Amino acid sequence: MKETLGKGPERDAGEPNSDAAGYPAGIENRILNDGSSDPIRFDARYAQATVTVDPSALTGHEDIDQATQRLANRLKSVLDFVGPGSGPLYGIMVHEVLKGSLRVYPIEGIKVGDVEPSFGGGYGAKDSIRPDIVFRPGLDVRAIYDWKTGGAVIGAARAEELRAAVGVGRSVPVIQMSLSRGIAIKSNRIFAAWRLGL
Amino acid sequence: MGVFVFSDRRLETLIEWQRATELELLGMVFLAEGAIEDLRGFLPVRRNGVETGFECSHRRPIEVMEMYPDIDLSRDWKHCLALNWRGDFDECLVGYSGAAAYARATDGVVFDPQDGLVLSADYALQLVRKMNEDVIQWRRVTADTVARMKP
Repeated sequence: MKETLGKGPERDAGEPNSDAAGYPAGIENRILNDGSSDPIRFDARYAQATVTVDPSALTGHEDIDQATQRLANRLKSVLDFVGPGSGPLYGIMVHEVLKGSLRVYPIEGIKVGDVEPSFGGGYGAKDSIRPDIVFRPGLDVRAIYDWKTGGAVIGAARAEELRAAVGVGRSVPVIQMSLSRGIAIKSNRIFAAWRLGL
Repeated sequence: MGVFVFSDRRLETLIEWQRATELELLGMVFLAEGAIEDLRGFLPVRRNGVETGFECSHRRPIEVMEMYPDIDLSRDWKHCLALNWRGDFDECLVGYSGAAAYARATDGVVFDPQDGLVLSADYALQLVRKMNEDVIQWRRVTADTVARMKP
């Protein structure tokens, strides 16, 4: 059993990977705002993270695939921006920064209310279900995105749970966006896809 | 994000789970009642005056084991509880705390798929206490980082 506590933001001023305030090294330099619709540039010179869109995540629907690619670019930018880390609280930090970036610089088809929406009642309602993001360019949800950090993957049961809560069928893809594994669509073959390292 | 709790027995009711959290002095209060087997979705919790919570559902243990073939769970388990939370420090803390207490009460283990860790209940509780110590700093760093993104 591997027993390590998560790498937190605790950093000494003298550490090469920290600044005096305890932030990841270079974090201010990585705040890239070029005023475009995706201002945190994913080709930043400090880029470290690798976020690739697995071919299985591409649906053939231009609007969904475009949103997927934009979210992938954003995720990569956020990871470069935040810097490396591990542990449950690091995962929360990445999610929070990602949410913040989507609020400040929205992606077309993903409004503020489409980030962590609550289905089955408002926030706090018992038995409600909350996908990470829904892509809703019009009235209907066209895709559901689920962020995963580290080695986590989304299972078939969770994907069905999300679809049922949103009120959509299997024609609506549940797309996993992973901070370390790239992006893959949730389908019956996802387990095989992961095992084959696709 | 979330964790799984593997165990050979289930707690029967939320009252039992509540007692398990109280034994560990986790300071959380379930804002719902009912049977554990009926849990499907968000479970509201109050902690430190904050109304928060996490999602909780049952999974087939074999399904989760197949999702993570490289993870050594040492043995087969009869039950698996999936706890999910969104990108929120309060939800993470009560979710992890709830999982640790549930594992302790059922002699189970906590599996954290993010970091690929299988944790004994004792270690999960230790991690929860460490997270509670660290969370103020994490909140500050996160808030500052988000603030710096604003136009």
